[in-house]
Amino acid sequence: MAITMQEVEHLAKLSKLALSEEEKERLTGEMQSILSFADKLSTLETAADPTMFAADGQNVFRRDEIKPSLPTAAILQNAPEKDMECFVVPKTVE
Amino acid sequence: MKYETVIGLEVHAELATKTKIYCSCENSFGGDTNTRCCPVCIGLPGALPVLNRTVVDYGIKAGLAMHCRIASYCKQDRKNYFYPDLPKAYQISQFDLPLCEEGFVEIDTDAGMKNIGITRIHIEEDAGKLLHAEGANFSLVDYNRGGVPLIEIVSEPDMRSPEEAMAFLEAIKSTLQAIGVSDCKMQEGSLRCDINVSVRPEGQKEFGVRSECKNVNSFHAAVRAIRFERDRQIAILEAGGTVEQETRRWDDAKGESFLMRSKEEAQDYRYFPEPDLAPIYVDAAWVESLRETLPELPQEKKKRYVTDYGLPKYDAGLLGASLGLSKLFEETVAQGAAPKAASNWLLGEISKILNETMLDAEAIPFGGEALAELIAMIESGTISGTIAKQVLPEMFEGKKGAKQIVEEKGLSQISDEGAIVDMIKEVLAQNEAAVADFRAGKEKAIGFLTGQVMRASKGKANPGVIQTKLREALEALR
Amino acid sequence: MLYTLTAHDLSEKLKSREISAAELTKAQLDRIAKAEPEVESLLTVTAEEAIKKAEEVDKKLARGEAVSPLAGIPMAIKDNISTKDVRTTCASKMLYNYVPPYNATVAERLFAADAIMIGKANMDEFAMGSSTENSYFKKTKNPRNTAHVPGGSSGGSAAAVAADEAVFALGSDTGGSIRQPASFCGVVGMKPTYGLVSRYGLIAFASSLDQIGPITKDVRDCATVLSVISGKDAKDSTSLSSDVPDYLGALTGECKGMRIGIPKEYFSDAVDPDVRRAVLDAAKAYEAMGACLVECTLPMLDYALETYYLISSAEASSNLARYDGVRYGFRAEGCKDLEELFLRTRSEGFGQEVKRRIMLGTFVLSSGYYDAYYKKAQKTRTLICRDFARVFENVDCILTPTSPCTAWKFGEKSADPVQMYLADICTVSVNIAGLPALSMPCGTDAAGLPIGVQLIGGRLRDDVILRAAYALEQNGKGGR
Repeated sequence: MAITMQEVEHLAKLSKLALSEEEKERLTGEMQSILSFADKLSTLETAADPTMFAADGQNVFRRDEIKPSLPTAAILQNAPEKDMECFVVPKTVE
Repeated sequence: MKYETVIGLEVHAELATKTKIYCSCENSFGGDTNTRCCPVCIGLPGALPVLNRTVVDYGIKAGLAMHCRIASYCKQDRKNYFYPDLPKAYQISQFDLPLCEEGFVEIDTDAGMKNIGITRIHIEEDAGKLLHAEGANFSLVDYNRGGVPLIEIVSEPDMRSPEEAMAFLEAIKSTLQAIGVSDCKMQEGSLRCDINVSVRPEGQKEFGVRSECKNVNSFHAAVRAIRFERDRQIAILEAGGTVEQETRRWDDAKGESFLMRSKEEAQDYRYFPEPDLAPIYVDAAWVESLRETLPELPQEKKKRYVTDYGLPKYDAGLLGASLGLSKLFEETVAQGAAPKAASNWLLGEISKILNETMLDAEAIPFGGEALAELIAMIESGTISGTIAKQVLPEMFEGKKGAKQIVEEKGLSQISDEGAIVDMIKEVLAQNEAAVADFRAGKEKAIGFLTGQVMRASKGKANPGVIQTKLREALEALR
Repeated sequence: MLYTLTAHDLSEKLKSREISAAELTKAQLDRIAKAEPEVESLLTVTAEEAIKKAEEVDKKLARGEAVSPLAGIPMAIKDNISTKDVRTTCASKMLYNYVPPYNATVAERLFAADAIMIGKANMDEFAMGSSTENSYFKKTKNPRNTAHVPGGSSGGSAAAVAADEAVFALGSDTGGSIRQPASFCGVVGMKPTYGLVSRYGLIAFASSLDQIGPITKDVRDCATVLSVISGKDAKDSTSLSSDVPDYLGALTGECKGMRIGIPKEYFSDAVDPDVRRAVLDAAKAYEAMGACLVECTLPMLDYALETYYLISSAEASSNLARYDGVRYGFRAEGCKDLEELFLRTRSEGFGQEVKRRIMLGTFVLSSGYYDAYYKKAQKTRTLICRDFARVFENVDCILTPTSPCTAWKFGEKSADPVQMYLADICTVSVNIAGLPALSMPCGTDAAGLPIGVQLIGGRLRDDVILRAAYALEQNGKGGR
């Protein structure tokens, strides 16, 4: 299948990546070659069920028992910006 | 032209488990920000989710209570989108294989009982909370709510009016409370909904184009948002326009909804099976073991109260919807109180006190025995209804029973005819004008004089005795 | 020289008090100081903590307490495995300053066994790559020939062990990321059965394929490290609950009667002649030891690379979405609004290869393409699993080259992503099927660069490939 520059722009938007014109062009070409290589799969006819889970475990549960949370200082220790024991982000539209 | 409104709801209810859905942090409301967080629920690199079994139990219970088919196999999926309150930038939810499908909830409408279809119920995690300081150019993120377990209940587009939607929401709320899976506290945001509304000319078979309205945080907001959306769509059609499929955002303060995104801007959530979690298999034994734990549901209770106790449907519905009131009602009736009298007290004076004191019915400090005792004292003429209303607030203090309060305060009704006749004599002597009115044929004066005698007795005189003796005394004067 | 010895040799010396752990750690740190300027295998060296921990181990040894075979042994951990209070970067600008507040389960288990972490190993950014050239910080050289790449993505871990900067190391393997660099650097590397080793704390690339494993100087060390890190972990829902077998007990030195599959698809013309010769020599050595070579066929190999790149990129696009500049790591400066914060943080924080895979993965999962790409790849995954299951009905393990070629020169393949992807042909299907596989040295090419032979086992038969590998090593093949 052919991938267009518009599609690359749409994917960049979904992925939250800002691409320069040069990057867009290069990625269009690269994705084109990766996808034409991946297109081989479309030639494979199969009625097999998809493998949705790698491990064959099922019903892996935890008991509903409280364990201590991390101290707030540890939760926030890597925050690029923090204030009033919270993470700070640019104002969200409300 | 006349239009019909078509409504479907997606209700999100927080589950009342002890811990979050994928980690062992405490699931509770309030408290300091970012104090109930761990690597898993703030999405630290490398942290992995482990499903809380009780969340599945509660989801199945909700499904059973809403007559759903419980899936023998289901899985969890990632819903990918970016927002600062979503720590992993994906929400773990269920996409094509939900835990419960194809159920219904019964509601009361003007035209009788009606079933509202439940398309599906699935389990998922809640996001954190964004806090906005007045005037600040930044927002704060608190992840305490991140990872709190939710069920999303999706209805069929079966409702036709805001009132039906309200009844549906009430039914969901009372059912979830009755089975103990959610406390449904609206003020804490533990029940929220998205609303799908469309309109169509009456008689038309096809559905109109629908819009989705988000950010509806109370039942009243839901009703208002539905009315707003209905009117907005009708106005568009009346003006010859066409309704667009879009997502809108409800602003309850302004009483309006605003365009969030159009169909073209629709999100592509790129759902795929969550590879960090195992699939869920629910066998019949598991379902049955949970079915056994289900209490009588509000709708069933309501029916029983109408048939067994002869309560009016309205009373039966209100009692049945409240776990606390229905329990107290049944205890009171079991102690021999008349069902209608018990219901009147519970839905009248007791509910009034609960409203004033912002208490839940579960928090009433006395049992059915105490309420039955109070009602029995009225029946036997020991106290009047008026006195009973004075006794009740003291009973809410939870220390003394009705009998004790009446005795200690000397509130027993005076039925001693001699004492009442003495009081009447005094009242008549002090109210010559009223006596004159009566003699002039003004029957109304007797009401005034009755009140005065009651006052003289501090409310304790038996009203029946007052009536007889007062009339006798007045007739004697004629 | 102490630092050239294996963990089992060193453990004997520590237990007999011939050497102290502090002495060993200091010797190891001296070796790092000497080799590191040339090899550049480590992103962080934790010298102080290592010496402190070594002194504690010495006290335990003095009291006769520490009995773990890894007690006092210096090791390196790949920098995508979370280590509490020690910077963990994934070799990305995105996490250049990230200090985890918790330990990965494998780190916890190694620390509990008194192993001594001397540093965090370089890698391809977020484990995406086959040469470690995608590291944001430095280019690790192949200790065998520094003009060549060490392989990847666990290139730092393999180079550290090959250069004697660590006695052993942990790597992670999503499509060959332990085995291929082990092969390029001439050491032993193993990807265990999916679910045998906890992934808790491993910074995810592709969740359904990732697995942590050891990189060691010999097979015995490999079995020892695996014994310590494997086993059920309640924090990882994909962790298997089966009992961990006695891996050391599997090392009998014998392989008589073992049936070894030779799949013809892995010996095509695409495989370098020197590599083919060396690997087939290893097969002959098995035959000489009394094993039985069985010709077999794995036709689905033809689709393995495509399947691998679609599934791994899809999962990666979601796993790497959390790097948004809000909670940890890099944040672009001076962003006016949320959208700008997300866009600029991610565009400035991720390298080219990572962006390429995120874009590919987003495409594969996006509406309209999901069925044709992602779902199709998952169906093919089922067929690849069946392929292996059929062959394992008849053989105990499968023998193949680890890589179709030996270590290439820097820059040689970085221009064309597809060329780089093709180098993973021998390793990816093992991850797709969740099987255990081990790479060990089996000779060198004309230029003197190491060649690796890969042994693939049936599900949870990690013990079988260890036994086969040990027999080959005892036979004089393998080792260094």
